[in-house]
Amino acid sequence: MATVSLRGLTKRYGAAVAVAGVDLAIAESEMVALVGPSGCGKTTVLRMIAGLIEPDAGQVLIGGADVTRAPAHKRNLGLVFQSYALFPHLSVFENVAFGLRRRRVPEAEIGRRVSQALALVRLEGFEGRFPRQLSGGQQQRVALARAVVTEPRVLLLDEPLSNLDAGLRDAMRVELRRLQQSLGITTIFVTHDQEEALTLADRVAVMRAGRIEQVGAPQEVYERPANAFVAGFVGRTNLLDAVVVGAADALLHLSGPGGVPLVVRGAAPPGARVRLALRHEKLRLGDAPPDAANVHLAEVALAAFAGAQCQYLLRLPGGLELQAEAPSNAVFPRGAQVTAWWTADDMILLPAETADA
Amino acid sequence: MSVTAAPSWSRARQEPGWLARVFDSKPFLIVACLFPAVGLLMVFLTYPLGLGIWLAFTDTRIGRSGQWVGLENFEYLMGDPTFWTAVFYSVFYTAVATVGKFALGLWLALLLNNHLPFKSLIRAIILLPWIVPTVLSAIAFWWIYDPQFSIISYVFVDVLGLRDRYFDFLGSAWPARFSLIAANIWRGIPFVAICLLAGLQTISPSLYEAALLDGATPWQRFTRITVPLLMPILAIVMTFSIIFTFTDFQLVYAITRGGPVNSTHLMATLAFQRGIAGQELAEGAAIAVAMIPFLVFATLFSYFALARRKWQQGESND
Ligand SMILES: Nc1ncnc2c1ncn2[C@@H]1O[C@H](COP(=O)(O)OP(=O)(O)O)[C@@H](O)[C@H]1O
Ligand SMILES: [Mg+2]
Repeated sequence: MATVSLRGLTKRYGAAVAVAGVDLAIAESEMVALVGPSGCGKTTVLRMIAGLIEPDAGQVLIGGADVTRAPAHKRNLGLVFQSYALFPHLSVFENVAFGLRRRRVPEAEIGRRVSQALALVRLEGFEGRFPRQLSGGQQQRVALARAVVTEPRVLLLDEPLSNLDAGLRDAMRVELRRLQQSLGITTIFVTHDQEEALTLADRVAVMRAGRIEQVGAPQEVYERPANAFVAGFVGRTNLLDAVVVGAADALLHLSGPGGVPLVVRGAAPPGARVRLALRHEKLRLGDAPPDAANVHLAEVALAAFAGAQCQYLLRLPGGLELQAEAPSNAVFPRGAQVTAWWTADDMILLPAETADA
Repeated sequence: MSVTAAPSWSRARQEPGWLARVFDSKPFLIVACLFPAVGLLMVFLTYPLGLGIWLAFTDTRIGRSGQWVGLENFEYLMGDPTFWTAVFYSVFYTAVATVGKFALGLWLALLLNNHLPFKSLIRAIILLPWIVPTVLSAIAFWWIYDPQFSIISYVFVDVLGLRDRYFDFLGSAWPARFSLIAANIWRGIPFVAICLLAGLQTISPSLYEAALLDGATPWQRFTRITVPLLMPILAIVMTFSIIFTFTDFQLVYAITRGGPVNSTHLMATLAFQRGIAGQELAEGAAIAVAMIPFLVFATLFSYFALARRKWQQGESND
């Protein structure tokens, strides 16, 4: 197992910058998720680590050694492609054995290690099948077995779960985590699904347009997003623009859209324009406790039942629309008048940001 | 309250007319729909083929209808050295030209599958030998192989000074045979190259990347991935190529007309020579019929080589 560290990694395609100076340090046996919207450069970063494309600038260090110019097969990495890239003409056994054969491992040991790897992904008995005769989830597990059978120092996964249907995805998420922890292998995986990143990774790196916007533990990124983009991308969030009108007891009083009064914990000079993030589930409906700093009467503009949760679109008197998510033990119908409330700590004061947000 | 019979709301079904019944009957539809296709096949394929086979067992000459003579034509051909030379050369021509076309065509396809500047222009140029009518390119080769005006001789003798005598491409048996094979290869490469290129493009680049990560050398990537994945399309293209080459007529007839001394006759050109030019229609037909076993063999080859391989079976499952 080894550490991975990326320093100023950059890749351009013509005038377009796919990856613009990515810095990231990954500890031994850590599982890190690169998450971001489609086209933000996640795959490009992963392929530069794997050595399939050469960066225009920056370095890739594995186990402390600079491998930026090392050929892919000298890096000793395992990669699971988004399309799995199984060899269609080889059996499951031969697919997994492919890397061992290229490394001239003796035949007896190949047999032993392949069955070990297939046992790890729970595919014993499938040795003789061809990829076409497997389901999507089984193909994915063959790809995983093929990636780990050579005992790589680092495991790279490109959108490992996005080709699976919802039920299978949840099951494979657990499998993947179990596999990573039992092998203790340093793992970097790419996903556009923020929920997947939060549930699976030790740390999450949120990317946008070739840059890393924030790196941190899932909880940290969720509760203290570094900027409006991260707040909007991770979790379901209302973003509000507001102007500071006054401060007292470490609380800011603000005037939100439509003149709605808001209270948030934080500091900013009066008159400053700020952005606020309010998670859907932090906005609560029903009788407000005395410590709720923000209490508003709202009309239910839309209500959608989603199993354990209900999703609402609320319209505040000033015309401000907020989305909320509440347990569905009390369902408010469309048109109902409800009390919406949240505390000064439920809302996040986002740092001042450049114009592009 | 008395129970009345439920009123029947549906109008009594009218008996359909005879025309409607005819058009509803399956046997009639089968016959009606198949007739045009079967009719066309009968008239344009089966009739000439049947006639050709029948002629082979008669003593028909041009201008004189013949009598059934059984295997007499074939017995005659068995003892005819020219016929055996044509059989030999047909097989030799097909074998050498096919190997040449596939070696060069595959090489070209692999080159074109890389990122090259002016890729689409190069692909268009490659197709040229195939687009030009065969007779036209045959005439061009006839000039290229001419004993006095050959451009190749001119380059070697007058420009480079490497030789002091002009090449005699078509003057004796073996040089003529190889010259024709070269012309056939030149003409056949585009078909092979473009078909194999299409096959190469169906192979996902990520397979090569996966192999690269495992340290497969370029040669291993070619033999372990490219070749097996190209096999299905290779078998199809090869079958077609063998059939086209074995039945070739135009190139040989336009360049050498089977000469010198009948050494470059293919079975097709010999059949034409005997049957039309020599007026022995029945004998020409017999030579043509003798080609059938070879073509059946090529078709069987395709049937077995094309049989779906084990790894191609099963649904692709996403
Ligand atoms: N081979 C390429 N040529 C040109 N542009 C590319 C190439 N590969 C990726 N890109 C561009 O780089 C950006 C990042 O791509 P990618 O890393 O695949 O994104 P992601 O995996 O996050 O969806 C995209 O805008 C994409 O269009
Ligand atoms: Mg991607």
